[in-house]
Amino acid sequence: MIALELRGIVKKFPHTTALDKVDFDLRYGEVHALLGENGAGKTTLVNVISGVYSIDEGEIYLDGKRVLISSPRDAQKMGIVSVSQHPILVESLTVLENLALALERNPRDRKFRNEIRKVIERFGMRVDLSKKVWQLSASEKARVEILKALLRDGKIYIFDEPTSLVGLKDRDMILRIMRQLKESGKAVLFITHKVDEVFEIADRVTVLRKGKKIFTKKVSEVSKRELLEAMFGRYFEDSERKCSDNTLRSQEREIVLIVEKLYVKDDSNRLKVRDLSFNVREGEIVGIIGPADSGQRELLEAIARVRNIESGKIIMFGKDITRLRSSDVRKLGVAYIPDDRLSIGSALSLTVRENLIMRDLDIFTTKLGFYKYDDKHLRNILTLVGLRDDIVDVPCADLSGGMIQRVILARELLNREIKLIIASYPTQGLDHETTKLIHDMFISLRDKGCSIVFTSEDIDEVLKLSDRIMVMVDGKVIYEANKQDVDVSELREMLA
Amino acid sequence: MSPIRIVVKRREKLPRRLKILYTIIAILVSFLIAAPIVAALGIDPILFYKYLIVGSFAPYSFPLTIMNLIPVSLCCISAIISFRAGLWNIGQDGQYIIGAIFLLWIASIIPNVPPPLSYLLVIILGGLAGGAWCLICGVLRAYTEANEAVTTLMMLYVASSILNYLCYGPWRSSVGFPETFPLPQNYQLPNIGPVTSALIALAVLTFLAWLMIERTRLGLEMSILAEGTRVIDYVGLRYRRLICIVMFLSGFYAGIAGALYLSYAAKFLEPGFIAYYGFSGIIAAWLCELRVEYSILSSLLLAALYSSSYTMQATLNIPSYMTDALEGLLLICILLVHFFTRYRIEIRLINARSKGDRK
Repeated sequence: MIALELRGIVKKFPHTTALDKVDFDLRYGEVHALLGENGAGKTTLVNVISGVYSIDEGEIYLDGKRVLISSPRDAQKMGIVSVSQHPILVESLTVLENLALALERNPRDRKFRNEIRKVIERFGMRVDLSKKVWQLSASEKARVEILKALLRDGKIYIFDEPTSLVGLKDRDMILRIMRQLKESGKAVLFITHKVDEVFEIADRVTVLRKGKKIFTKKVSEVSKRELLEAMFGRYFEDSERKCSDNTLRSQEREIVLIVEKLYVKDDSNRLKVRDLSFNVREGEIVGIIGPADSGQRELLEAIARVRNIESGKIIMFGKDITRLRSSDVRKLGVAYIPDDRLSIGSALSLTVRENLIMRDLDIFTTKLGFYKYDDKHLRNILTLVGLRDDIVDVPCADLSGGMIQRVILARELLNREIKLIIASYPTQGLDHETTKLIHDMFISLRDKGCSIVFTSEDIDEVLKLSDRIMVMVDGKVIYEANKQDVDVSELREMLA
Repeated sequence: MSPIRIVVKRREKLPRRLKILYTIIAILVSFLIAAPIVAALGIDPILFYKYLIVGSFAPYSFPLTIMNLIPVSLCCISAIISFRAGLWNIGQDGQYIIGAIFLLWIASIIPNVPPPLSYLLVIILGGLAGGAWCLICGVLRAYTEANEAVTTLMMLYVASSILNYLCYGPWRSSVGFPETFPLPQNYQLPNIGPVTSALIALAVLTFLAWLMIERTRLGLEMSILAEGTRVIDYVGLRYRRLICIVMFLSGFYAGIAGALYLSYAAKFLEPGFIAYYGFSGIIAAWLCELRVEYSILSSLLLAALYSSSYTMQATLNIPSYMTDALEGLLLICILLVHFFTRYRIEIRLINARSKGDRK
């Protein structure tokens, strides 16, 4: 039985048409995967269904009746429950209080607490209700967000890329929860850009590309290649990618970065990096992998000098940079690509031009502080990262996430000679095109002698790019090996 | 479910011509709304409009408008500097008073500085004092997170009390009124024809502010400051120092406003020296969308309101509160236009049941 049907949905934004006459239907008792690369319109579609966006054209039917979903509250009343990709929680309250707040219940109500306990048992989750949210890891927060959704008695559950920010164990838990919901007759919409997950869990799959629906098919009747082609419009060669061999002679190269006995705290004052030491050589890519939130982000932030160091030492190109600020490190030829593109990596209300020059003001201004940038150079580097050069006057807020990451790449890698790249989850949540661009740029810079330290949650990406791999757990490096010595199955076990 | 839905949508960026047109419409609309209020006071609205224009742009009233334009315009730039950086200095009037007091004090100690130099001193002394006064709030903001909107406003009342104390106390002149001795002759800016030479200072200062905001590193750093601390750390700016610099510069312009006004118009201080040019400057800042290149135009409108309020009070016996009300109406209309140039509201009629029977 059809739970939800969309007909001819059109949603326009100032510079794009995000959804172009999309038809879609969701049945009870199925997991329906919505697949597409970034910017394909997946999240827009979710926002339409959950009442965040109003539509420009088209019709929505719920249980066969035409409805107008004009607010998230409307959607909830109709039994549409969505699990947000980024948990929306009040940091200073406990988990229980957050749940009570979201569901408009009293946290002291015993009945309410029993309900929560039942749901936790039924879905086999591990959640500590009395902890304050700021004490939780990203995975734990994701769990709370899911619990919040499960407590609402819905008919339709929407999971928006639930697996993108959590560790492997939580990923399995989330897939299991979706299965359980389906078995109890609910309709489950699963948004993802990972093809493998579609085969693992979904019954049907709809592929979106550039705002248009390509097809809806039964998962049992579709091949992986077919899905990839639908997503990217041509055959895309997945995995088993080659990369040039660089590990020879590595012992002879100079050491450019030394991290010594480093201790770093996060924003809520918890120690995230403990007694960590490692070296990076010239022309070497070091990939850091580990369970989510093991201190990778804080480590890279400390090296890029945007986070305070508790104790320890960082030496870069023979210079002690432990107490320097990010602009000083930048002048040494360091690129830093932060994981949070929107609130750290770019100034959203400023134009692309201003974003391109803001990290290199020493180059683009005279001694007296007047601008002396050349628009030709800025337009040129935009073209090099595959953007149109006429966007220089557009505010960054009007660009998509993938475009903003390209602007960041242009700024960080092309404004000056770069000797060291620090990249925190540089490809996370990005489409294949941008991911490929980042990989290509990294490898070509590495071949010119640039060193790269990056983190990723994608084990294939780390294996593909890195010359050396480090596994970081709980703020410490527990495993380190050159690429040719890595035992992949051992590595997978470590991360499980 | 109700069949009518009101939806707020973001607009594409409007061309500048349309924006200017809408702003002018907003100004006219606010004047129109004033009509019934004026009529309620028993005054012919047509006469009111006539004096609104005659009272500010007629040959005899225009010098008065220019006299008001200079402090309003400098306070407007002061507001633009801080607002652009996401800091809310709303105590321009306090910095204005302190700038004038400091000038009067130093000038009374060294009254014989020769003219071209003394005119420069007017600007520098006023600016330094106003800047230092505002810097107090900047330091409090940078190091203790004290909200600068609150502290700058509070410091306005402190400044106003100091002014009263000096006028009634140690600086009281022998005449007997609560007013101070006059500013030494050398420090009084001369007129060129009917208007004051301070207009030249305004032009230069406006150009310098524009240069700083639009063409220099400091201007860009200010805009980044408005984006939040994480971007600031990423770019590697000295966050606290930047707050202090911006607050100093903002106070600098407001301080100059006070010193200049003392020098070319007031000549001595009295409790009524505070004319709330600062608040008008804030309205003017929003009117020109925080763009220095339009600040003189928007300030001219506010200054015109000042001078027509004098004229109307004298000729029509309209209380000066009427122009205050008009200022308020103006601000509301401008903010509404700002909203409607960014968003549009759609009202939709929807028949929810029309196609419900289709599967």
